[in-house]
Amino acid sequence: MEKNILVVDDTLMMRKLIKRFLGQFYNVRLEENGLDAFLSMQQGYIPDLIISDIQMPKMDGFEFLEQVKSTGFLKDIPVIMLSSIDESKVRVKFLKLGVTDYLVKPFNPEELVLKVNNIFERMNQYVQN
Amino acid sequence: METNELLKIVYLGSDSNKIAALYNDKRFKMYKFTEAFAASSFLKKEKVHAIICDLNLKNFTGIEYFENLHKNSKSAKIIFFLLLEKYDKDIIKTALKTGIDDVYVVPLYADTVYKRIKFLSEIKRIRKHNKIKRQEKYKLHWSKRLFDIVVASTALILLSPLLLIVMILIKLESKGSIFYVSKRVGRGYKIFDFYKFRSMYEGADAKLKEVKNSNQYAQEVISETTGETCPQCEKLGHPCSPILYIDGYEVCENHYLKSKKNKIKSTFIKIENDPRITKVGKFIRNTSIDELPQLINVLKGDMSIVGNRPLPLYEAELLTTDEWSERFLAPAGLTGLWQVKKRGKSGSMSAEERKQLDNYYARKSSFLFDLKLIFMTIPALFQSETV
Repeated sequence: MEKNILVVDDTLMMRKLIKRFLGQFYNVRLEENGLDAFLSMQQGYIPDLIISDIQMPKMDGFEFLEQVKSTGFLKDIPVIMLSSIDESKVRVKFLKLGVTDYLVKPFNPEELVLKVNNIFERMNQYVQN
Repeated sequence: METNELLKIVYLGSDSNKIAALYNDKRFKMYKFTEAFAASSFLKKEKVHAIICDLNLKNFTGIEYFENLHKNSKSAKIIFFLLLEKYDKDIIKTALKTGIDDVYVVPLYADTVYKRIKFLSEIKRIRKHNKIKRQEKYKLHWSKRLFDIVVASTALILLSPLLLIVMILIKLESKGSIFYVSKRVGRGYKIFDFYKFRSMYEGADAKLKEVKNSNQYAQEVISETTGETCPQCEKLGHPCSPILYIDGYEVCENHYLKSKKNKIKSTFIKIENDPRITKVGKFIRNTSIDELPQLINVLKGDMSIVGNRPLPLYEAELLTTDEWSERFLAPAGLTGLWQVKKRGKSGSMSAEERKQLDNYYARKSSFLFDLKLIFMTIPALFQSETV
């Protein structure tokens, strides 16, 4: 079954690029801020993975993630943060909230695809065991 | 909802031990019901913040109960959580689609529920004013595509005699294919085969190493300059006049600077008479004829006549930032701002400048601007300078 990935980023072209990289292998849905992303999931769209920016209007990555983690239906979905903020303090803050990975922009598209593949691979193994 | 308000919660289900955490927390006031009917009549009288409901009730499911509640009264605005014994994605999806706010699997934690209720009551307020509208369009205007097709095909037809001659000459001079194909990144990060006439000998990459080796000589010289007498001064028969001290050694300044210059030159692979370039290659490079096969790329839709620099992959990867990603809105082009500015200024520009030009074009591009750039390219083409 094809996996669904939700991409949350406020830059149009960045969303498009991420969709270009991952769209060949997965179903990708794009949202432009945490709030819109949350509302679409609230209406029954449950992705298998979330990739989220940090600095966004309406609802930023931190609040978005905090809300995701306090739900019953989304809290176990793996999350990759994809941000231009390259500070260990910020990475630690997000890892503490339970994100699976943290990638810094500019990023190598191949690296992103591989990270996503690996996460799904691990999930599959977990399910099989 | 005020910050420190007591949250009133109705629990409809068989076993309140499942949500014991909420009972033990002072922020909540719990009302427990086992009968759906009793819960409903209570809800008519009392205003509560949320309902937590088991999936399996006596005669129906929690989802059915929610639908019923939704139909019958205004209490549908109340936050509604479904409580499962174990994770089930299908049930969760169905529940969310009917409008249930969240589905939890036991055990339930007080902090989570508290945060969630606060947030949801906020969201319910926002949602009324927040109509999601989206502008995801970034289609290329049809007039630009039409212009590309007309110009590229006309140019190919008019230039066909010249192209034919060049193709024959390339074949005659050296072994190998007529075209040099490399991967480039265009609009929306589309990766395509980028065509050029081959201007180097086949296996040029191996030859590059040879070239580098011959340059190594220059680097050896510099390490020898320290502690040696300058050969030139020796020849002229006078002592080295301005003497530099490097790492405690005496060095002739003249000798040192000369060697340094050689070293700098050697770090660039672009070498004056690059032995990898064929004779025909040199000619088509200087006249930019080697770029003409890109007209095929234009016809195929990989590129436009006017656009941004077609980037090699390794360079495109460096532009996956919010700021620079904008350049991928515009197509890759045969010519563009970068060509006009670079040729015009007769000098190289910094990477930053080039990136800025790309973004500027992506933002500004219009038909008139394109025409202007084409006319500015024509005189620039005749300045013989390798690009």
